[in-house]
Amino acid sequence: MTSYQKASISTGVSLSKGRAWKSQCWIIVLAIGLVFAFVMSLATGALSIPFADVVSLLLSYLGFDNTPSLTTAQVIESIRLPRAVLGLLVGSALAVSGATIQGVFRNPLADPALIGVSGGAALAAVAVVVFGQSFIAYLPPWLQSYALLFAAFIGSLVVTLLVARIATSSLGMSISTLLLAGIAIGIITMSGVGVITYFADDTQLRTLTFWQMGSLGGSTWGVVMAAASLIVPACLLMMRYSSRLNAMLLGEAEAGHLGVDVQSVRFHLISLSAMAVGVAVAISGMIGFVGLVIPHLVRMTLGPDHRYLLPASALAGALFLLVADMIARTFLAPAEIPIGLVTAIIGGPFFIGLIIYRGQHGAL
Amino acid sequence: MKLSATRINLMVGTKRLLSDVSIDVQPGKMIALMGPNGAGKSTLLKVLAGEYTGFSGELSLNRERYHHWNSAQRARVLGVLPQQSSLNFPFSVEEVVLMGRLPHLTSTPHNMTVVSDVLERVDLTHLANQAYPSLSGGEKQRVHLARVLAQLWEDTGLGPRYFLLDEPTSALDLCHQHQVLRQVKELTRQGVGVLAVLHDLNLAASYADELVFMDQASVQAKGQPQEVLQPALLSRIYNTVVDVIPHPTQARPLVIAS
Repeated sequence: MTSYQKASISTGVSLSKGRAWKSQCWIIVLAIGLVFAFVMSLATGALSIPFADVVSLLLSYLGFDNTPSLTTAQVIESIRLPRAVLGLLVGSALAVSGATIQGVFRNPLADPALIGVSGGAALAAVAVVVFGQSFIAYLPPWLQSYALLFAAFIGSLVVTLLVARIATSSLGMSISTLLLAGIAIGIITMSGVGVITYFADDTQLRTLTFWQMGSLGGSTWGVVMAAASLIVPACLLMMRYSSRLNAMLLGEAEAGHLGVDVQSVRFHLISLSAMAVGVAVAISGMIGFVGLVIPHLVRMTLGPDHRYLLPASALAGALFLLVADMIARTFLAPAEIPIGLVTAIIGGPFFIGLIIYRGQHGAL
Repeated sequence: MKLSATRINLMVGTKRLLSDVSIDVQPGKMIALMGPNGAGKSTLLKVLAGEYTGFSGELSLNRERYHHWNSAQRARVLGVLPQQSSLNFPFSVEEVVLMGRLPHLTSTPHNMTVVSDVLERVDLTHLANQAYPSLSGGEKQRVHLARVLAQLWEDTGLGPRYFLLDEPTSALDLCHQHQVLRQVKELTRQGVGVLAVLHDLNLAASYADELVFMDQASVQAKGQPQEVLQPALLSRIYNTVVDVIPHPTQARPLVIAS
């Protein structure tokens, strides 16, 4: 009785000391790697900027007295920095949403792209690009950058809830139905995008092509800030559900017995991940496999505890996308490969390997 | 103070799953819920666990209407061990048991102490760092028992605690069947009220304070083992010829199906 102290503060369920320590070390390693990749991505490109110059420029932002050259500063400030920040945001958004959706559906294969969520966002975004321009022109300028993001969010939310609804019967949620429904709805949304293409003019067509293959290019600070204002809170809020998400992996009834309000937690998490994925897709197009591959790799290394899985996925997703973008920009320079192709070329074989591994081991 | 269901009726579609069922789980007592397959035992357990909402009748927990409890507080006094669990993510045994502390606001070091105490008690310390999916069916069942023990480990000031178990021994060998029921019996000595769905009549007779027999969605008989284990009743409920003789070494009846 005396040992039960209501007042003492705790984040809930914790890991064994060994695994927790290992997870914390990995998170620090990933964070260091991310800082390194961030500086690298600012240094690489058509105009090669020495590493030291980038570092001194970044230090000058932090208040250290340095005087970097003007061209360097301009290239970095107006082109590379917004692009790198966008890479961080999109990578974290896709990886954290992927990990969260896999937890909510209790299925390690439930990638936002596989269950049609990205497709819903793309369809809504493309519809706004082609049909919505005259409407958006009436909005105040600060709202214009949000209109597309908001449409994509609604698109992905509608598709996620629809897929979840189709997969849920009185017996609970069927994972195979979920995946099948997601694939079917994914095909429908992609056909929708195809149909809309017929109504598009030449400039719009170029935008649409970009959507289907994904790109971090052409990002302005206004768009990046708008995206950050939605993605950062969505990811942080998802992390607040970590302990309850762990319990939900036991099963919905079991989570209920542990005091988790399963219905509301599930709805909140689906909405938050739809928001993060929707915004990411609206800005960078369809970048596949990040939401699937990154959480998987992290889970294989750190275990399934969401209290470490989600932050580590955020870091690893951001790191992965920065590296993929560097490859996209430099591999065929001066031409640029769409980043969605790069992530698919890396992620596709990984996914196949995963299926083979599952077949042989009958597990994750 | 008790966990009590009064005149519960539950229809799903046109099928009547529970018909006018009343049951009281008293603190410190163990009830074995018995009956043939499809009698409504698991359904009644799920109603008491808060999994169903569409029933009529009264449900109360420690003198408070059941639905007045918020779910986190209820989880501090009511633990449920389901028939089977479909966890297939590679948590370690220790991590699964630690999930039982989720409803509590106690400190992490305290939670870790509870977990290691519980693991010792159910004889799982040697598996603490094993991945849950790699365990055998019986070991998994004991891990979940440990998880609920960690959940109900201490009095939280919200009144007596209750433990609902759905066929806890079905996946276990003889030794572990008795081990699990001894653990559960031990809890009743600390004032925990237990309701366990059991199939083995003799196992029930040797551990339970009260037997409740269900058939066709309603309660057919209840009472102490000596009173209710009657050949006529058992033969009728199970539709099988049953003999009841005194146990050769213990003061309880022994049921033999022939």
